[in-house]
Amino acid sequence: MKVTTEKPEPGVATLTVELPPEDFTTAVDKALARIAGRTSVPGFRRGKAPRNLVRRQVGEASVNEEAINHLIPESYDKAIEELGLSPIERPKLAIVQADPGEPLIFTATVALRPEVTPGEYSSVEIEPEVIDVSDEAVERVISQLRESRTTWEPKDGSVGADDMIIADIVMDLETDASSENRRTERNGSEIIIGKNGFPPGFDTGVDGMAVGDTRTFAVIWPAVPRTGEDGETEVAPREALFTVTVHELRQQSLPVVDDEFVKSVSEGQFETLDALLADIRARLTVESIRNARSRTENKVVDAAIAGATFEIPARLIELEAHYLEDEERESFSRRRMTIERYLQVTGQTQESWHAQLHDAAERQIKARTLLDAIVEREGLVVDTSEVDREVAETAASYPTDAARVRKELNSADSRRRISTSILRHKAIEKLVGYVGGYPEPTTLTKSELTDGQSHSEAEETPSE
Amino acid sequence: MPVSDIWEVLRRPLITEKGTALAAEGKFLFEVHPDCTKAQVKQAIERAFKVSVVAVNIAVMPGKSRRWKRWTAYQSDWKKAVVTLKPGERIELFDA
Repeated sequence: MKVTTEKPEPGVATLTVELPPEDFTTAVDKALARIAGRTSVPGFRRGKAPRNLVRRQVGEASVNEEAINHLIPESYDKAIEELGLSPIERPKLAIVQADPGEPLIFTATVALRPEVTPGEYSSVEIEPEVIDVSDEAVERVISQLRESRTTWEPKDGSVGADDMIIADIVMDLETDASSENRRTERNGSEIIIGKNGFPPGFDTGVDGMAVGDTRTFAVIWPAVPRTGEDGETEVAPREALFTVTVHELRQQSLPVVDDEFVKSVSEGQFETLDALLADIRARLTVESIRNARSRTENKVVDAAIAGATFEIPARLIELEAHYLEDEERESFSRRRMTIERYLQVTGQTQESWHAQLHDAAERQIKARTLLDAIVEREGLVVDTSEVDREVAETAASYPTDAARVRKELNSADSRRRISTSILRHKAIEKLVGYVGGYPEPTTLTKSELTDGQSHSEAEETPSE
Repeated sequence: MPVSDIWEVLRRPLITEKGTALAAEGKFLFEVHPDCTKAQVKQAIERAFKVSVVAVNIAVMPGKSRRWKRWTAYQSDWKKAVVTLKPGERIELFDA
């Protein structure tokens, strides 16, 4: 058996296998014996007919075909083993020459398992992540809390920014010249100036109105893109004539941040503003740590990927991209959305989305391959107890049917998956270790985080 | 009634499991005319295949019964001849 290999593209091997004529002859004999066993020749029991008769009965061509169908996969397996390749799919086979008495030649093209040569991943450097909870962030939370407890109080005078009006609104929407204008009436609707769905001119239109006033003004609805049966169309900008009658005018009243407010938002958990602020800061810090950790992990993995060289078959990336696409479509359909709609709203094209998926798929495969290589090189191992713990933790997060989840997770297949993911995570931790570990919070110590005590920096009160 | 024409004696070679097995021993199996004699078989074989016949054994095979609803009918009986050739001689029909 003579085998030559070439690599037409990264991660793909084409083997050309040449088998001596004798191999073909023996294969034909074996094929004939197999065929004899299932062919009935009159006058003979199955398998008892002489070879020549069988050959005449079924025809030369089908005997050769049978021989080739057995010989090629057999010698392909042998060739793969000899070369020590690890294919990830069934090969595409092509027969170059198959004539009795001549060498049998065929080619097999197959995608190989991705290969990686890790770079000097122990000396990669990344920009360290900082864990920083700014006072502004804390203040933002406070102001969100205040806004969520806004009350509206009657206001004298005229409509101004952030006020709420209760008004009857008539909208005459200009449509095609051919059809009638469309009129929409809403009575007694609550409208907050600056926070309504009307086009920009509306707020200035009602500005300065007092209770009892009626005003008529025109506003332009901007163009709206939309997808109809005839593809992408655009609804042209249209003029709308508003007639607004104000019945009530209210102004926003944000609650004052005092102990009362603290008690109400924390549902009695905290007595003082300081305690609440410390709690908010602690929560934000925990979140910030979590984000910083995952950013750090992504950075080290990216850095390690950048330093390594890969050989990945294009088909594998394609498959992964398809998989990601299916997943994304699935997640959109669960939210009763289509990806097409989403792309349109965010102003993306199918092509750019596919390119994104392709990049994501490539990164994922690279990351997996590299992490697996690191696991091997660093001799990382996973304990059964670690898998057990993971299973238990995951099962615990499904309180309703923990038993069923546990059973599913304990299948050999899923245990293998879990241990792979633990190993990969260990590899990531190893990488993080090389760049000096995970970022540590600088403003708070661990104990302060856990007991949520007040902290000197948290004592400022937000400005009113 | 004896067979008048020598070319009507041999009907077909019996190339079957048993036939090929016997051929390996230099014995060749034929279906022959039901009315023919051993001598006629010998003569017919020698003329047709240009070989020398050592012995001819003959058996009359009973026709099989075939049933159709309540009636049973019989296929015709037929005659089988085992022709032993001079050692080393063969009939090519059996070597397919």
